[in-house]
Amino acid sequence: MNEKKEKIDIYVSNILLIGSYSAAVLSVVGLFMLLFFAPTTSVQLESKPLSFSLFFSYLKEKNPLSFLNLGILVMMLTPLFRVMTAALSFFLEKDYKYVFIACGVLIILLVSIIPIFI
Amino acid sequence: MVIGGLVAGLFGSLLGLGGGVLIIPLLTLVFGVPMKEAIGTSLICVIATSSGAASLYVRKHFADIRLAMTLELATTIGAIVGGLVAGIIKPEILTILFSVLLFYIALSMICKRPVEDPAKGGEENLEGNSSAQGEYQITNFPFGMGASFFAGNISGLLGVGGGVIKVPAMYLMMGVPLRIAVATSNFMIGVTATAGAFVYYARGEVDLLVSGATMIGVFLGALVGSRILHLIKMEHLKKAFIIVLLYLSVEMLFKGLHLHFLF
Repeated sequence: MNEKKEKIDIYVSNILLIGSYSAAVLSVVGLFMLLFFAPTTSVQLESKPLSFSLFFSYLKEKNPLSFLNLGILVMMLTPLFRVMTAALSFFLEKDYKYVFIACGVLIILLVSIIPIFI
Repeated sequence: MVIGGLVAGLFGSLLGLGGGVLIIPLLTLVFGVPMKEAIGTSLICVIATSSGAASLYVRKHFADIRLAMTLELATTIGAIVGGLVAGIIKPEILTILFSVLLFYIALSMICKRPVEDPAKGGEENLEGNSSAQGEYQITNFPFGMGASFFAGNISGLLGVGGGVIKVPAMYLMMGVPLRIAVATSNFMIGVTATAGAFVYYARGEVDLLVSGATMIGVFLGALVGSRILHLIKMEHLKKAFIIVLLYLSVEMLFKGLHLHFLF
């Protein structure tokens, strides 16, 4: 295994760890705020995913739901970064067939995200 | 809910399952969460458990990333289709299908020989696997793509990882060594679950409170599980888990049919 590939495997591994740990931390912060500070903040009872405008205004207000939503989004986006890093790894190895395949997977994932913006 | 997620994550990591098979019955039967929201939550928990395991497999070069990427073309499309289909069919039908899946997993656990966890291998095995990736010849590729599409479909439809389909397909039909099949499947599960999870998220079928609480529990449970794995007698745990799965299968079937078993 060449050194470059080894380094990129470690990057992918670190991205997975950082992504899942930060998602867990954000969710813990959101839950704690909800448990201990919710009575003083305006928390909507129905906790559906927030629209982008609502998400940013809640984040400004330090509303617990915005932290929970951010934690969940970070967790959902972590595998996306995994695919992006794999594509980069194939590119550095000049294995263009697999760059093409990884980009295909990335496009499919991006298509699945589009409905969130509609 | 955090404690329930912790138990699901713990057993999931000890038995090599994504946790979805326990999370959905827990959320629907114990907490009364609607089936589709339980599936959305389960997919997020599957991402959480698989990210930890995949991180280890990537670092140790166990997973065949090229094979994983190629099969992911099929699993991600399958997951999106599964997620969309779940949106138009009745929750009762999803509950009954989930009951059938639980029964199938219990049966496959009774029949199959123990699958060695790739993460348990020593350094010498690690090197062996690394070189072994170039030694096997992948056969039946169209079948593998079909099975991957089906696995993705099941994942998006019922909120599980789909490893129960991918691992046998790679090992039995495509000529991939078992160790590499398990690690490759684990690498793929998070990406597949993400494709399905976005469909549920866009439909508003991800409850932030339920998902956040369960995800934390599952994440902690998986961390603890990976550390106490060597202390547990797997044979006893596996037998107990098969009984739990069979019971949950009947309970979910009754729920789908609007009948009462125990809950």
